[in-house]
Amino acid sequence: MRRTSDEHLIERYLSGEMSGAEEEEFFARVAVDSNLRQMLKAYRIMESALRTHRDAISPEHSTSRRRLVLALAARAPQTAPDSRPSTYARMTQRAGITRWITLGIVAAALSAVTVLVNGDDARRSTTTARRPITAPSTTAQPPREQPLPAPSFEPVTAPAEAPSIPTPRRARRSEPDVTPSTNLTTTAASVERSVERPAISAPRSDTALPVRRDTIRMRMRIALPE
Amino acid sequence: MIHERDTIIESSESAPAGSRGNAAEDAALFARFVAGDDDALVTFFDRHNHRIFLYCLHLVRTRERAEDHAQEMWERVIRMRDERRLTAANPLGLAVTIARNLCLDALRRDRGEIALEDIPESAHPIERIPELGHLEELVIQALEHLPLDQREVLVLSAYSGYRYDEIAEILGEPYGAIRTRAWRARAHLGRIVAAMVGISEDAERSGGER
Repeated sequence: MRRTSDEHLIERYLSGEMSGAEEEEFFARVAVDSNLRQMLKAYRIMESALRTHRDAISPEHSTSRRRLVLALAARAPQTAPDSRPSTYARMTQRAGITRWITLGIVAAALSAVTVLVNGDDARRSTTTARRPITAPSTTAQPPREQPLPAPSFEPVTAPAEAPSIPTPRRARRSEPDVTPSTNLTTTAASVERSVERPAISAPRSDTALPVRRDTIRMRMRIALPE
Repeated sequence: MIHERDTIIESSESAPAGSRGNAAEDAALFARFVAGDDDALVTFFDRHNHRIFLYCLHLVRTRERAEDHAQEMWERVIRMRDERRLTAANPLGLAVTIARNLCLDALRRDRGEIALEDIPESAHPIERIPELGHLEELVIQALEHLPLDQREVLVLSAYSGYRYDEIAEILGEPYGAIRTRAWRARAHLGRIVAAMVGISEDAERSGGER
């Protein structure tokens, strides 16, 4: 109990809460009481130790400060008190615009390359498909100055000379086609040729000849003018 | 004798240079930070980081870990601002509470790893300060063994330099309770030191008699 009251006295003395009269009384007791004197000394050592230890710890926190600044800079800017955007915001905005422009250029370049490649293939296929099948050079060629009527092609799925199931229609087709209105008398020799499928399949169109995977035998009749 | 008293009062009341904060200024700084002014947080950091670091140091005992926890605390504050979970009320209390929770979590994790007594003396985490005498060094070691509630008040007072009313606001407790805890901590430490002083005085006396 006495120790507790001594500690209270020392605490009050250290915190400057004692009046002048109380202080005189306190020091009179310290002069005669060895326990109180020892306790006061212990408090002095304690205060000295805490102060020395505190001062020995370096207050250098430059690394932490740098990290804090970086952490702040790495985050999206908040609503600033002033309306003018900060330097960080302007840099971010500029970087965003540049990124979108770059993406656009790359996309356009890719599209152009794709169109070029596909267009080349398509042109090649279309050319192959639309090429008119003409009679071999050994057959009689019409004079150039005379316009030729449009040749009529009739795809035949099976050879005419060996029909598996003869039908009246096919029998009629094998006969010479003489049309009075066209006034054609000459019938070119029937040409049988095989058309092989091109390497790249062309898109189907109404004007293109029917192209099949298997070999197609075609009989072509060319009506030459008189 | 009066001179001696002045020295003691100065040592107990003095705080780290430039660290005596003002609650109103702190609140204004933090309000600016909450509103989006990042520079305000850097200023707030300059005012309080070392004091919070000292507080962490006495909880986790090593400088590296204390710095890490203080740093983590600041990053959490920034994150809370980004998530709109931050208010400008009692910013110092918020900072110390976050730092305290981080340190205590780390201590709880350590408890499952290795006991302090199992660490050899050479690898003991308490830093040795060459300026300290033998008795002073024992005081620092005795401080580490105080109960947590007493130790943190003593550290916030003697190391971080906060006044008792500031500590009461930081920890959200009544001023009288903080005052009592601080007194108990000093008394606890004082008894240990008094016993050591008595032992050393007895030793000196017996050595002199021989």
